[in-house]
Amino acid sequence: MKREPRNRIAASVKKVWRINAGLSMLVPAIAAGVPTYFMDDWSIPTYIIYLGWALIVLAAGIFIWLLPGIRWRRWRYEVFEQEIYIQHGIFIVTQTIVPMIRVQHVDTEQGPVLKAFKLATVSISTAATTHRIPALLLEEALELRDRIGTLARVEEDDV
Amino acid sequence: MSEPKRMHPISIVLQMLKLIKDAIIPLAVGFIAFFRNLSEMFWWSPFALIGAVLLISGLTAFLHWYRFTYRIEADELRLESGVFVRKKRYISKHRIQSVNTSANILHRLFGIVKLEVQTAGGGKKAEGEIGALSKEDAAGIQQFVKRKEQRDTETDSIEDLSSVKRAGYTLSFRRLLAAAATSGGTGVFFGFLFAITQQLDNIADFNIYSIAFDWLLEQSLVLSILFVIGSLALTWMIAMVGTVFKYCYFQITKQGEELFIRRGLLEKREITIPLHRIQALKVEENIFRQPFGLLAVSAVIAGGGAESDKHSFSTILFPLLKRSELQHFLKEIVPGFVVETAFRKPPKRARLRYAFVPILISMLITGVLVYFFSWYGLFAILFILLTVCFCVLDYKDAGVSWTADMLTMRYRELSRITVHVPRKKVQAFRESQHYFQSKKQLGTVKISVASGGAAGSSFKVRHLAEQDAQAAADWYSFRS
Repeated sequence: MKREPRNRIAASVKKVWRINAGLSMLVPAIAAGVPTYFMDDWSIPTYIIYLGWALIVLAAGIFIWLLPGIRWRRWRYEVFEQEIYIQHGIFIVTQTIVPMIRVQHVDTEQGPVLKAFKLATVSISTAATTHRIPALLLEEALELRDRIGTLARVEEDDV
Repeated sequence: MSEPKRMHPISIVLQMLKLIKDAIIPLAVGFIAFFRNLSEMFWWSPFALIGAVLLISGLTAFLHWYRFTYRIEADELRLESGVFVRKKRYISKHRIQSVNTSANILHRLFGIVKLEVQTAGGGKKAEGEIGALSKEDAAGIQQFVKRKEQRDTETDSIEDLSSVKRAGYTLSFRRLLAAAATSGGTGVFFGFLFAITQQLDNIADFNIYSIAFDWLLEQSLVLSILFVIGSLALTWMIAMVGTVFKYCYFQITKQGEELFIRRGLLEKREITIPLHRIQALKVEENIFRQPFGLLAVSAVIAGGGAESDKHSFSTILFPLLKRSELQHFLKEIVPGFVVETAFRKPPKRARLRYAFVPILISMLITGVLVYFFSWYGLFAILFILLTVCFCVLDYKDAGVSWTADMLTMRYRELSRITVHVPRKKVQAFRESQHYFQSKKQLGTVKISVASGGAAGSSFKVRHLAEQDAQAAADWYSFRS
């Protein structure tokens, strides 16, 4: 756990993560909003409502404000001629080595949010696993995909 | 064999039986619910129903048989099927991972077999399946696949089978009984029993557990203990019978670069595995076997195992061996996988990490039990003690070791598991470290190999010393 891979992923991914986290926070917000609205009708004690909202604000703070930054700082990758080296994880930091000759195929994909930020995800599949680099600038992603594609073609080594 | 061939005609009957078997429960329910009134009006309606079922299933089965053909052409096994939608599946023999045949009682009655072809693709089902064909045809297909295996591995291209070096092991009857007695199948059986009683609950409106519990409480302590022991013994025996059926007449032989496995009492199975298709070798010592120095050997294969167990994608190479016989067995059967025993073990400072989570969980469970059952719950302290024992074993067993081209990992998940994976078959290598591990310079190592599951299989050893984990990563890395 010493040498860190050199390249970072696109910095704008933090915004994407924040938007996604914000969207998924809508569910608990609605779940809390309804009882707040009917608080008097359903005779719910006020402290429970406060507690609920406090939890939601706390979670929003963690998931929207805190984690994307840490996650981005941890996310690193490096593509060598013979292997791909990936590091990610917030609480559990994982470093993954994927040898080029084990790569079966590489994909790029782009959801609506990623598209708005001109980003794309690169996924690298072996016979057993799939590794995703969550967000690179589109041109960078396409270039990386092609590069891995060429490097992986070198040797025919069957499962 | 380039002419398209149909299956043995008996497959019509087999297919029919299968269709009827699948449809019998909804039909019976439908009949009871709906047709009962009808049968009061028309006495012949049940017979008409049976006739219709026979006719429809017979016709479907006939069409299925009529439209299903297989042939060998241009180094491919070509299967074509489908009545309305034609489905053609061409499997290149260079992609075939293993060929299995099996014969259940019906097959055996007519002297035919079912053939399954596994490729590396994920999914539980075999990629190619021929439901019923004569033994000669099956042997023909196996021969066809094998010819390429020998060319691939560059042994002499045309080799007389009898001149190929053979090695073999047969499971003796005593071994079979010992394997059955110590198999972990009891747990599976309990799961099955649980599922059945759940179903009973749904059908009849009573809770079998509460009845049993009430009844137990009414009895004296001695009687209830006897009852529990008795029912445990019974389930154990039933699980034993299952293992005996499965592994009866177990035989493994090695011919050239291939393994042949043959087993089964009622349903006979024959499995062919090319040696170089083995992704990992797994030695498993479950808690009933380990004290007696017994173990089971299995192989992880990319196409998925030939076992019917849902959770394992490995194929048993031998159900029961003594620890002292293992080396010899490996040398004879899978010579590439010779055991390296100088493990790099987790350091002393890792002990807390092994103990912390399991003990915390067991204490929480005990707390809940004490809360609900007052002092009866204190029996759960036994459970905590067991957990402690387990943690100690977990810590003591863990380790990794490697030679130039083989990685060996040992860890415990109730059973002690030792896997040997050739470096070439490791698809990805992961080293991970969480906050508490990094404080003590510990790391977890995890590898993935291709197997039947879509996600592959992975093996991991937790809380190794950081420099050992790093050394393992360096060993795997192509840069160093």
